[in-house]
Amino acid sequence: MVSWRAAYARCKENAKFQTFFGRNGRIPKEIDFELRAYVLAFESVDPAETDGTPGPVNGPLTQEFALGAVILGVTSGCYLPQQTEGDVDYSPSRNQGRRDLYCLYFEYTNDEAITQPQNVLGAAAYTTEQQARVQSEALTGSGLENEFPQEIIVAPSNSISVSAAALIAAPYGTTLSDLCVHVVFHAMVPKEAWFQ
Amino acid sequence: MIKWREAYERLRGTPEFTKWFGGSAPMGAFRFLAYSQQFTGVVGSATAGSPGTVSGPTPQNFPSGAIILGITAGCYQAQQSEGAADYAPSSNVGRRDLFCLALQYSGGEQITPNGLTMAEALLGGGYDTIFPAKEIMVPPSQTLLCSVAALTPSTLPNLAVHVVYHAMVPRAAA
Repeated sequence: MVSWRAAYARCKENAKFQTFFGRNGRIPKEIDFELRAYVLAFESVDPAETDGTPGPVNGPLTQEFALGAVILGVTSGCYLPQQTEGDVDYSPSRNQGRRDLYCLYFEYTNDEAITQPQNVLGAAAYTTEQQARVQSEALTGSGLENEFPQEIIVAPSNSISVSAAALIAAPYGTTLSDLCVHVVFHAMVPKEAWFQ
Repeated sequence: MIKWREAYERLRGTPEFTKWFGGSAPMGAFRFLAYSQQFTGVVGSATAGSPGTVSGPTPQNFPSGAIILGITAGCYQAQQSEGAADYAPSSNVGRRDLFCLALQYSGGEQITPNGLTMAEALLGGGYDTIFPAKEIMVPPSQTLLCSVAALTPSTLPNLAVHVVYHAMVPRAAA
């Protein structure tokens, strides 16, 4: 996660930042922003059909930022109920947030991508949007050492869309519950008082 | 977790800090205090993965005001009976993938505007600056409200969730 202080120091020189948040020739100070943690919850992400290949796409869900925002970090985690005794011999994931079990895909609402389509081994160059989805552990990590993203300045009334897809499929002959995925945007937003 | 010095330097010139803690209060006029809340018997959800019955909101009062540098949480869940499952419901060190939190000021202003959020995604392990990304300054006698809900199915044992607010508070002598 990007530190608040570093993000502000970088952003205050940025023309977009000054346009989006400036008032009467002044720009807000570091302390004129406050923290908001926005969450998008995907409560029922279907299992994949083939293990390791992203399954049905859930979303996109849209997170709106009414006053604009500077996003310092995006973190996520998922919950997967235990499978029935005897289906498997061990847990499907030992990751702290089970972030190895699903993919995420981010884009601005004007279709500009944040995560680029990827080159898949054995496939023809850049492929479908489906394959642009990236395992969450690889993309966002835990938010501790990974810095995803470097801060993103979001214009007032703009939004970011997120979609999710599972990488885990049901073991042969058994069932697997849907995944619940939560995605959190840790954001600096201008205090309402700044606009008054 | 926000560094003590960084938080102090950011806040000391603000009107709120001056009003609540005195404009000339040096860094040594504050001490560390860990406030905590316990939510016992948090029942599971009828639909695993969707937040169950909400426990709270429970107010956490800060009589002398506070500067919250970090919020961490963990839960305890009793072991299941032999044969119920072949592996543990969570591999997370604080089992933070098993429950959700929602935080707001007592005035109704939200810290998590969209409501209940999985604790692992929201808080992480509490290292670095995972949550909150910036210190939260709480006026004297103001409170924060915290709500908890389980993501686990109701067939599993209830959860005991502890939430800790790591705070700078003014020394009584100051």
